[in-house]
Amino acid sequence: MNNLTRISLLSFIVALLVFFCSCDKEDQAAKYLHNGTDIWKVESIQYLEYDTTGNIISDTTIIEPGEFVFFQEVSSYGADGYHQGIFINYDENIGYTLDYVIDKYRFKIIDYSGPFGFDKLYTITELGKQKQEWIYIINYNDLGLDWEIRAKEIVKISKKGYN
Amino acid sequence: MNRSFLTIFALIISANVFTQGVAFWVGHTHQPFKSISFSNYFTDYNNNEAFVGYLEKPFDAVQNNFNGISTNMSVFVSDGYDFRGNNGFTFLKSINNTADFKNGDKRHVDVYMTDWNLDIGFGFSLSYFFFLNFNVGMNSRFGKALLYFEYPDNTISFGKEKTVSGVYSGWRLTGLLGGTIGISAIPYVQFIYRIDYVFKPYADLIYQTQLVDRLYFIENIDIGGAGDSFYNDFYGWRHTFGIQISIGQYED
Repeated sequence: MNNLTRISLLSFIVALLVFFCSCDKEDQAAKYLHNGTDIWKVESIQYLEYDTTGNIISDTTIIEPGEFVFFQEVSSYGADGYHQGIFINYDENIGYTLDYVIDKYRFKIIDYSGPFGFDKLYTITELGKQKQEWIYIINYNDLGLDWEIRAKEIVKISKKGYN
Repeated sequence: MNRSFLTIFALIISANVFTQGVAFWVGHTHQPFKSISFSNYFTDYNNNEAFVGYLEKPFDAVQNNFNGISTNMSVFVSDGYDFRGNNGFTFLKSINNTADFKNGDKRHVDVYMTDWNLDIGFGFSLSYFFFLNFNVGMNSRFGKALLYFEYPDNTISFGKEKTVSGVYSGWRLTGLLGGTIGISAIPYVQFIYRIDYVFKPYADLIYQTQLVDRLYFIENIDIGGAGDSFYNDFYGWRHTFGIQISIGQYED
């Protein structure tokens, strides 16, 4: 095998690796959550409500209500990409089991009996290995139009021990 | 699938043993945005009764473009005739298309495409000064469409409060047909122009939403696909301008 052949083969392999690595963002985002200690402190949950003209009519923030433990193990919905997790509520000192799935853009949680609610889809506004921020919006007008009363929930989490 | 890759791999290895040189190029690629399902979506959105009177700027229903970069590696033999085995990738992004509402809300649509092009080119050459190839091969395309909503306070949401929001992705395999011209004044470096017609896939492969289970669309928009989907039906001409570096021995 001459040098030219070696260069060609190497380039081809590198190109293939780059291509297939770029198609695996969903798994990459999940690794952020369950890698290392896999314990994330919920720094705050902010609840905002807007009136029909967009003015804020309610603004409540709960500081450090608990922590998440995100496991790598798949849940009973594993075929759909779900993993297992727990939310530990500090006030109640209770752990709630949950299922979660994440990609580069969204975090979906099925929190069967805990405070996060069943089947919630958050938009990820900050995706980091140490810090993340998710936003959930709900409109009170079921028509899905744009001038309804709106509520927004902002969840900030960080790897426990990270400031 | 694995067997196909091994076959292609083996073909390139064996072809390479008999080749005279290897060439790499990188370039800028442009493809007009041509998709029946997405055009239908934009048109239906603009004409939806619920939005008429509230839209400040409707979707651009016809004009849109993909732009991005391409890379390619070729093995070639060139001696008056010119034969090339091409293996390349194209990374494309559509121009962001939005429908703007008078109250400050915006509906966004971004589309990303990653193409793997595997083709052969045959034609003629004049040493390193010039070559012209006709290309025929396959195009494997991964597509991702991001549909999200922006609120007046600039909050971006992929959430279910707007039913069509989501991340849609899909894959399809089709053919490509085109040509490449390379021109140079100095050895080993050439300016190239490549044009390909990427065919509409035979099968109606679709973009599927991920993560979100949708049962219906209350926006009542025909998005051209079954259920929560778009057809992955982008096709048309693709143009690339680039610069190529060749390593190997040209016949004088």
